[in-house]
Amino acid sequence: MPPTLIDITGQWQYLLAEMVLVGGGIVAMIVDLLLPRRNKSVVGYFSLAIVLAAITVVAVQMGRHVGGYLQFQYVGATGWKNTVVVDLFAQLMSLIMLVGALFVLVMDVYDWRGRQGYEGESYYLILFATTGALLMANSADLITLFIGMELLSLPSYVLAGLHRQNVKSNEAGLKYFLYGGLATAAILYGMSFLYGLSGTTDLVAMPSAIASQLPNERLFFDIAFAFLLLGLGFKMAVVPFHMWAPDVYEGAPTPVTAYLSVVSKVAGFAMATRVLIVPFLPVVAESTTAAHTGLPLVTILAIVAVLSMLGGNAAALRQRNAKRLFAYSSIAQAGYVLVGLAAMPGQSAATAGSMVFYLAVYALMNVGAFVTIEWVTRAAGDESLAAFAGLGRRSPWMAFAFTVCLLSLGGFPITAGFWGKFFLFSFAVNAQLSWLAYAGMVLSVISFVYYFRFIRQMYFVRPATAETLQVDAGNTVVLALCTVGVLFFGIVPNVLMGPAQAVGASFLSMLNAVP
Amino acid sequence: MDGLLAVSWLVPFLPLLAFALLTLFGSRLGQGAAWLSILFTGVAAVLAVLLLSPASTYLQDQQHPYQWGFSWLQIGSVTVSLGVSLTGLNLLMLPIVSVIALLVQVYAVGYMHGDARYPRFFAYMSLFTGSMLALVVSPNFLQLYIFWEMVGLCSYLLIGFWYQRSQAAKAAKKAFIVTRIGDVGLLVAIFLIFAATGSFEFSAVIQAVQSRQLGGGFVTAIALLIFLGAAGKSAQFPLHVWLPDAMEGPTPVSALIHAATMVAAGVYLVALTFPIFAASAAAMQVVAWIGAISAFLAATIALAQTDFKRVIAYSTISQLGYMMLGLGVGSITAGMFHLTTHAVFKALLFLAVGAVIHEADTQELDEVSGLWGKMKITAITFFIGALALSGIPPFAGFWSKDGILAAVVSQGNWGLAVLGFLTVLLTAFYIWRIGFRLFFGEQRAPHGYEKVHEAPLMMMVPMGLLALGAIGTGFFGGNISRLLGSGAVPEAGWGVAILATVLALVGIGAAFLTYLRPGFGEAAVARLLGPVWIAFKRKYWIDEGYQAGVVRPTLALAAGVRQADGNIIDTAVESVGAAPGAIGEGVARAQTGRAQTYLAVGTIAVVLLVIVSVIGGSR
Repeated sequence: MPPTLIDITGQWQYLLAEMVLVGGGIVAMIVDLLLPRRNKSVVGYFSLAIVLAAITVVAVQMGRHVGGYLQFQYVGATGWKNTVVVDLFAQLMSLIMLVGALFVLVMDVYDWRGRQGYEGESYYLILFATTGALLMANSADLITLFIGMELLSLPSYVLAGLHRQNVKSNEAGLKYFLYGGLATAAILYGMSFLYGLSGTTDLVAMPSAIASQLPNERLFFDIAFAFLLLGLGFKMAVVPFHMWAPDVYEGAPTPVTAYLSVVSKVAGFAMATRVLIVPFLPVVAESTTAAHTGLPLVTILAIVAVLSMLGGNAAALRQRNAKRLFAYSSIAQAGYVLVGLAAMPGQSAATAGSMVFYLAVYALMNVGAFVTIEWVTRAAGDESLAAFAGLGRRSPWMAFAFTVCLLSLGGFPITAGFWGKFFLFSFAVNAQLSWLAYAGMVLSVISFVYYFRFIRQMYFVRPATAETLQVDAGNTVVLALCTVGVLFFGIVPNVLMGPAQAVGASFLSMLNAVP
Repeated sequence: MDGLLAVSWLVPFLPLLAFALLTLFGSRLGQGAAWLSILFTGVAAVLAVLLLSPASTYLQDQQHPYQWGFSWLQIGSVTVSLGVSLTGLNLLMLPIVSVIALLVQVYAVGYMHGDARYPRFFAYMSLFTGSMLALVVSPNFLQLYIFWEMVGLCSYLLIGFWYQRSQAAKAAKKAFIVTRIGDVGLLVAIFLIFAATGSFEFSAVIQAVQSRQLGGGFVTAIALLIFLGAAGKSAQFPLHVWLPDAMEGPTPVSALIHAATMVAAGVYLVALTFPIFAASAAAMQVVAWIGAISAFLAATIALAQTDFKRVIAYSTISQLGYMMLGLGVGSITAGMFHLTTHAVFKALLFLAVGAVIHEADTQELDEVSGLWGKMKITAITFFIGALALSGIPPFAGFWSKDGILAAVVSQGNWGLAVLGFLTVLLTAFYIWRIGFRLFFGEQRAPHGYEKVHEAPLMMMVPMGLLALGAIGTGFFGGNISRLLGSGAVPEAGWGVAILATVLALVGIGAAFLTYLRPGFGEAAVARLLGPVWIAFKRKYWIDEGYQAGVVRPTLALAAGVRQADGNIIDTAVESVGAAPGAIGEGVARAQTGRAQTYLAVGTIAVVLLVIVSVIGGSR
């Protein structure tokens, strides 16, 4: 019995988190104008409070209306429905992105200390971008999704280039803008095909509309898929659409890099789940039965996953710049998540859950890593691996936290990263993609080589200076939360996997829902 | 009595607790750190020994092992528990691991005295002991795998403990990466098993195999993948390369982890999943042959090494090869019996050479000799270990090695038998070579012979106890086979025993003639064997082979991928003449010029996809 979608037109409280962010962003913008230059950090603390408020809203709403779907309609408009879907998938993804944004803001407040520039702008741009990211997760309509994506992207381009005295940062901003522009164009073009084929922008209604069109129009579905893959591939930074990432990650201010690698990426995956998977499920289903002549969509996703894991891990081996290395690491990590995306048509419920689990864990471990990178490279004035020499002596707790994050990124047991990979790969096996799971396991071994380079520097190399690294309270809390989270979910994975699996179940029922 | 069973989880838990306490308060405890670790491990060891009787009674009465655990995670409809299962096999392993860990920790009190990171060392030792015990009691593959990785991590930490030596850091990384290659095999096997049976429990998996629910080829694949993991951990050819390098760690670590316990985990794993192997003749052949080849190759390499700690490391590979050989020809009892005796006498040998290293501060045979005059007790314990290793009756190694050779002979595979017997000869030669060169001949030591004296009492006591063990454990074959319930220790009459003993005596005699009689020496042996000796000495160039065949291609690939992100595609795109120029050319030119390339790569990929789908669609 498919669940019925509940019409909650007019109940705007389910957009409260977005409203808080946008409203907070506007207030922050005005406050920023009035503040003298040396007091801009006030805007930062205000933005932190806004994000915390949004987190509270999402947390309170979490789990409400499980099994049902709450939809908004533009009041008075006809023909445009299902603007926002409230489901567990959206709620958990929103929570992940908000926590990521919160941590990034803490980093950012520190990063601006002793720097000249657009400090206030950086805070409220993060608020606006995060609003877009949230919309990308909880929208089930092409138009709203697109607006969300642009709302995330445009501030991101500016954020990347915000260190205007730094040539690399300028270059990063401009490059990101160029690639982002192409990605946007490609996504819009792909979406236009979907609309043309199904006659609706509503993702809930789309699968059944598509199923009736399928036999005749297979070619156009393939073309739509190809363009959406190009655009979303850029957003998720997967091979071969990844090439912007190393330059942008290296050039952007470190907190922005953390933002791009966590919040942007999670948003990209959220949107990919809605746009790259849901409309194409009938296409994939038909492929398995009929003697079709179209593209093997699942295989293509799987190949992109393998390329990302291979390319990201292999290229990271030779990197000496910590931020650039982490760009490649993030590409490889995206490859693991893509394993889940590729498995989704075969095993939707569980895989969506394992993907959410992995993204949650990824956010924690990657933010933890970037906090360390920010502090170490800033103190040393050097972004190479050598900056980490002897950190185990200089700041034992920070080195320990970083080690935990690195082990988790590599997928070592008793860290959450192990379970993340474990769940992703085991559901890939269930979805008849064993070869992909095994490729992932083998390729992830390579990652230990470069993650251990950091560990080697921290513990096995003499420090250049004996000075201990003093970390401010905010960043200490962030780093501690990330580390404890990674360990906690590593020891009792069920605490997170339980809700994540419920996400999968609720996500699946959306596919069968009656609009 | 059942009350004791109910607290069996304390055996792995106590050392893990010690680790937690030492991590938090270790630096405040100073020297006391060692005693905390020893206390917790000691209680665990006592408990492990006390458990033997009630748990085996339970096993006999109930016909299934005692199990305790709690639900840990839910995967779909499958519940995985974290807990304890007390089978005959792990009842044997628990005392071995905990007692040897205890003795080695006591020894380390003396050995590590004065080290700057003394509490840290004992924290790691506790973590290792707890992880190994938790591995052993695992009721399912998942728990086993997690602690399997944990002991690997401890091994990494302890090999690299003296990180000031660059060799130590390299060796640690090598050990970690090489064993992980094996671990991927194990993990893949676990996934295959889960996909096929929907369970991680050993009992469910074994039942599925025995009821022939799984296909023959599939079972062989699983068995071989498990063996890949086992071969990595137990340093079997061709994944053995990490173990000799691991000798960069402190000697107590070598004794505990790289001789007696962790490296035996591979053998334990094969014994544990034996029904899977037994269902596949091909897998059994592979296990037997890899075991025999490892035993033989490592013994030949051991002949020519001058770093005496490494000789004993190669000896470990060789003896683990024997255990695999025993399992491969179908006798769990023989393999596990040898695991037991070897754990004792190999720990003893390591502690004895550790005493020499501690006093003489070198691992090079060429730098130290004639220590008999200074270290009589150490020498005696070493020779007891050497007798046990060479398999001279009534020392422990004789009985267990005889069991393996008997199993090989009664199976009638002559190739394996020849390798097995030849290795007996080589074993006796290499270990007595060390003994004769270390303790006899010219009296010298790098920092002055006169400064050398016996090691402190704290080191001598464990050595003495292990020496008693090296004499005595050989007589417990019957008890072990009853505990395991896997058949008696194989026997093949007096012939095998006499032949093996004679071969061992010949080996000892040859070592005596070579090293203690004037006029003959290693140089003469080297001349006699010519290139063969060089092959031994250079370890058959296997490390160089890996360097050329695996490491360099991987790095080349990495360089290639990095290049591809820069120049190659740049050039390729330009020469193809693709038209990225339209996209914001003016802006991009001001930058590095790569922007167009990046865009073009993604676009080309999509254009290719579209072309493929158009062609595909028009078929």
